[in-house]
Amino acid sequence: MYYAYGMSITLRYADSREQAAEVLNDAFMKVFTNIEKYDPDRPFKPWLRQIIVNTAINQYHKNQNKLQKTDLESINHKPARKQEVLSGMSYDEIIEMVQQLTPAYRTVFNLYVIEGFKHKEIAEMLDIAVGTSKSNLAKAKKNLQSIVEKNFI
Amino acid sequence: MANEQHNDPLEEFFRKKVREYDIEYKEEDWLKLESRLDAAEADNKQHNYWKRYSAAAAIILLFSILAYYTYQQQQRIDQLNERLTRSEQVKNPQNGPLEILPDGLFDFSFPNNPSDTRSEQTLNTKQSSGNIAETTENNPGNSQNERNSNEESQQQFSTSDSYQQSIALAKLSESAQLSARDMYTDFETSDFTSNNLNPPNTIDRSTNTSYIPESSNKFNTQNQLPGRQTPRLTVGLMGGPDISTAGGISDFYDPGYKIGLSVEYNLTKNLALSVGAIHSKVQYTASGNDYSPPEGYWSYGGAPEETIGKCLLIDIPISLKYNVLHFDHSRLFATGGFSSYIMLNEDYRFTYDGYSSGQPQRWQERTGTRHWMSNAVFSLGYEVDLRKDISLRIEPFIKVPMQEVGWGNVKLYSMGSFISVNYNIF
Repeated sequence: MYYAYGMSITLRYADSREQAAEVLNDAFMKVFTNIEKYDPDRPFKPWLRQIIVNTAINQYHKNQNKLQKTDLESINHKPARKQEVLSGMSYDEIIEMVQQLTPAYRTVFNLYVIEGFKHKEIAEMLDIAVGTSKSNLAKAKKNLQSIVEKNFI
Repeated sequence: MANEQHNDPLEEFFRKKVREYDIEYKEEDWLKLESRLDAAEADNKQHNYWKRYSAAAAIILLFSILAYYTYQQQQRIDQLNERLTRSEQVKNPQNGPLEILPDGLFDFSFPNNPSDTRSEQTLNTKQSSGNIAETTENNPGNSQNERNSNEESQQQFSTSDSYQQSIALAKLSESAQLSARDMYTDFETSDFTSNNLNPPNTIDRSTNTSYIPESSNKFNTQNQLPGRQTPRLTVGLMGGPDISTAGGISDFYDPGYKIGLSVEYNLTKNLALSVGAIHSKVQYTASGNDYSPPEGYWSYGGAPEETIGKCLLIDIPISLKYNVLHFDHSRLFATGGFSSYIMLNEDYRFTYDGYSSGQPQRWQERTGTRHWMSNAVFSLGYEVDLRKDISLRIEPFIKVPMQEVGWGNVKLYSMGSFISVNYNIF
């Protein structure tokens, strides 16, 4: 039950399914070793989600120096159109698109768009400037559009 | 979470799509997690065993060393006392010459009756006669008897027709001198070499007359060896690792360091007052309960699960040092006192199991706050004299909190070991 839920989060932050499973295992290890800190009066799922997101962010910090940026800005842009193309995409295709983003763009995109954090909060979490967070989000969205247009339109 | 409205269609699309997850379960993922859980459990057990056994071994080792040195020291004291008693008996005018028992040992019992038949079998050494002659200088009332005795003895041996007896006499005399010198070296800890042995007929009486009585007066039960003059003022350069933790002696973080200077004033031979200024880097982890920043700081989002503190501070210890045991060129000491902390820079990073918006990640500031007598300090150390005026010390210490310190108001436990080089100014 929580496996799929956890993977749905880590897949968005990871480069691959293997890495996502590794991050999820790290998160579950934290859950198991700190289970005494869980307050049973509060819902479990949000607590789990926060641990998984934190673990993914920690993984981002660890890999920050190893990661190589993929320059997707060279992709020829086509006008964004055909909403139906997007709506026809499967979950796996969506995840595949997100995983094509650089870790910096991907992490900011996930935190801002999916998790709902503010840029100031993201800047604190990732130890970056607020401007960098905004810039990374804009570039992430731009790159996603490019990927959609390149592969699906 | 943010309350901002995300009206971008692309954002809406992704938010909607990621909720439609349908992820296939993979057994291998669980197997990996299971193996990690097993390994973690084994590591945890091993770590706990290691910690317990290490602590037990350290305590046993410490007490064994203390017991050994105490026993050794006590034995030496007993031996010296015994020898002193014997040397006092040598000085006694009622004493007769030394006897050799059938097993070759000295008989230090001195018959009061000079006409004892055993005295004819007595071998009186020149050394012993010398000693007796010397001691008679301090006992003029008995000098005549001694001289007579000596003359008789010398006559006895000078007219001896046995060469073997002369050899035995010489050996015995040397042994007696060795014994006396052994006592001397025990007191004075001076260099002892075979070259220092004078032949029986070249004994320096003036030396012999002085050292035995003088030494017997110097010796005291405080274990203070007179070979080392107690300095009045000593300065030291000290350094070493620092392992700190908050709230209890567990969950240590990376070790920090301590480096600084100390000044020590000897109040008595064994008691000294010591003051220091030590630049310290303290690193520790604190759980949410052990870390208490100013009230209201955690109001937004709750306290973190863990805080990692990295602080630079000046540690000012004031302590009394007592020399517990003395050895030839070293000593065992214990100290007790208080440490005051002046915080130079405080840097704290907060970790949350579940991160919520608005929760602080880090707090860092050059605070400069002072915490007087915040920690009690205890240490047990060993000092070795490298030269007459320079010594090396190894001093494991523990600092136990008496007050909370720093911006986070933590009860900071520290332990480590100083290695210091000390110079006796005068």
